[in-house]
Amino acid sequence: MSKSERELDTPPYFSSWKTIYWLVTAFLVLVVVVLSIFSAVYQ
Amino acid sequence: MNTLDLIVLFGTLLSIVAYGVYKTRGQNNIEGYLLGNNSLGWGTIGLSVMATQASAITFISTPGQGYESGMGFVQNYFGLPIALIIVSAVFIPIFYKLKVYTAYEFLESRFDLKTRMLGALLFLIQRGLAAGITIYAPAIILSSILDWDLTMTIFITGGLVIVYTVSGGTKAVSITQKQQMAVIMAGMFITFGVIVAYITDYVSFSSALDVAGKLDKLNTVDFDFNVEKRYTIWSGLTGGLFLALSYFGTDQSQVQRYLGGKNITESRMGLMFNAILKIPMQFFILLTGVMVYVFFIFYTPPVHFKDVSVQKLNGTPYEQQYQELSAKYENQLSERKNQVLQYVQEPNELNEAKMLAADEASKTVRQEVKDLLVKADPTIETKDSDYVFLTFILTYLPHGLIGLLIAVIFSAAMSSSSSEINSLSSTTTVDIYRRLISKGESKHDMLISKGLTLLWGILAISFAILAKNSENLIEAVNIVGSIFYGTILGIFLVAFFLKKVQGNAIFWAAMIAQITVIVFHFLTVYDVITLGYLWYNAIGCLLTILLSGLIQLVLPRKA
Repeated sequence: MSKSERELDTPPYFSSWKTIYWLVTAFLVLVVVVLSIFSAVYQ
Repeated sequence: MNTLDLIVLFGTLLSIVAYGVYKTRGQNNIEGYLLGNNSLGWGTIGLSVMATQASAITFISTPGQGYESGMGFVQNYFGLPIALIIVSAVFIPIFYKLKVYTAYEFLESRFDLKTRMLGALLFLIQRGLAAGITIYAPAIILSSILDWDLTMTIFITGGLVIVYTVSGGTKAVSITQKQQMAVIMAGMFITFGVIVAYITDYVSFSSALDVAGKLDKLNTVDFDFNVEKRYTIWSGLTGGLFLALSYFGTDQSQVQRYLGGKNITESRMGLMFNAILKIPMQFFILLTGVMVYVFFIFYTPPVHFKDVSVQKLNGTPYEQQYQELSAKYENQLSERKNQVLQYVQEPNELNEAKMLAADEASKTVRQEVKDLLVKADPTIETKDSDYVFLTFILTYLPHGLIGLLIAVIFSAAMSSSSSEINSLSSTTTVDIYRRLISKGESKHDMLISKGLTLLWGILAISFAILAKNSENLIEAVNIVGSIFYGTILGIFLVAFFLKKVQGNAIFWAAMIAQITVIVFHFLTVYDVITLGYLWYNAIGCLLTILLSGLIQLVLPRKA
């Protein structure tokens, strides 16, 4: 496998990795919010 | 366990081993053996990274943690997605650009040979000790609860791992981890369904959650700034970030998983897969433990789950007191069950108060039994939460499923220890043998690497057997890990972010930081200072970074 092939770097569905990182961060925030609501509901 | 369970258990384990050996037969070069010929897709990488982190203790202790303390432990993983983004954005492109086999190779190209050797040696010491414990920790629990011989249990786990790890190297580790994760998740989902089915004979799932919440088991996110609290969102985001960053970015047992990718995209996707799934997975395992707690409201649990400890009371003056406490506990449980049912029928404040009082009373009796055990033997370990989930499995699951769940525990132990042994061998081969001794013949180097895998496997088993006599060894190895982890992370962070720092500065900074952490440890051991061992990580890391900058100011810069 050539070096250029190994370094091929395009994320699926999105144009850049930054978008994916923002989505993962947004998912983390969403998880924290959902779990906070879960805690509050069953407190 | 009956014959059906044994067939399911050994059928599952042996077929995974056979699959790993078969699919990786005919490896004839070092690239294939250490990096799996860079053929792995993101799904395999993602599951492999997840399986490496999820040891048997995850599936034994975490439900116990949920049972005992509720869901708060999940906050420890809040820093993990951020750490994985940093590893994906910063660490992976550099590792790929330099085409390294191990993380420590990068240290030579960035600094010099001695810094690479330091990084590799710190990893070998720390991970070498941990590999024994990864096998020992589940073996001690499984052997005591299944009444198996401990040495035999260690040999089964270690022996099966050695077979496919020596045979197929990195690719065998990764593809067997896919099967192991499938077994693990299937087993856990089925068990959760069985628990809920048992509970719904008495109350609905929604009421079960309500009861668990009222008993303070579902407090998942805590925004309190009190640093003395063990699990808060703040400790999870900061401490969890440091821990995950050093683990995923600098620990070869993880680095090797994602370096086997077809390309950088597959490696990054594998890590993002983990960034998304890790918290939900831990949440689910903890919730399983909480549901076991609710289950034992309706089905009588033992007063103490670690039967081996209780048996020590036999024939002592405390036996009679234990029998009395046991009877008292059964009465309390009956009262608690009635109060819970009454609360579910009429969820008002009075019934809630009565339910909480009954739950507290049952906890008090459990504590009295623990105090009695300490009276009988002051050295005894009274923590029994690690035995809760296995007690449930062996007592209430149908035959066949028991075998599958024990296979889950063994699979988890095997998936973690295979990664560890594989990475120990890779680091010894690449950073020491190939760098200092080898003449560069690929096939010969692969044979050496296989021999080193076998050697590390034997060392892990030997260490696990030696651990038999020490109750506190697991904590001791965690301490050893914390002593070295901070320095390694500090070296890598300087490498990535402080471009002006050169080899001599980082080497001496790391040496001084490491010695300082060791001194702090001994000052703690001899009660001169009081310092939790998790702080060693932060101290080692920050000292390495600060000192490297200061020393670089003094030392002459090379061109």
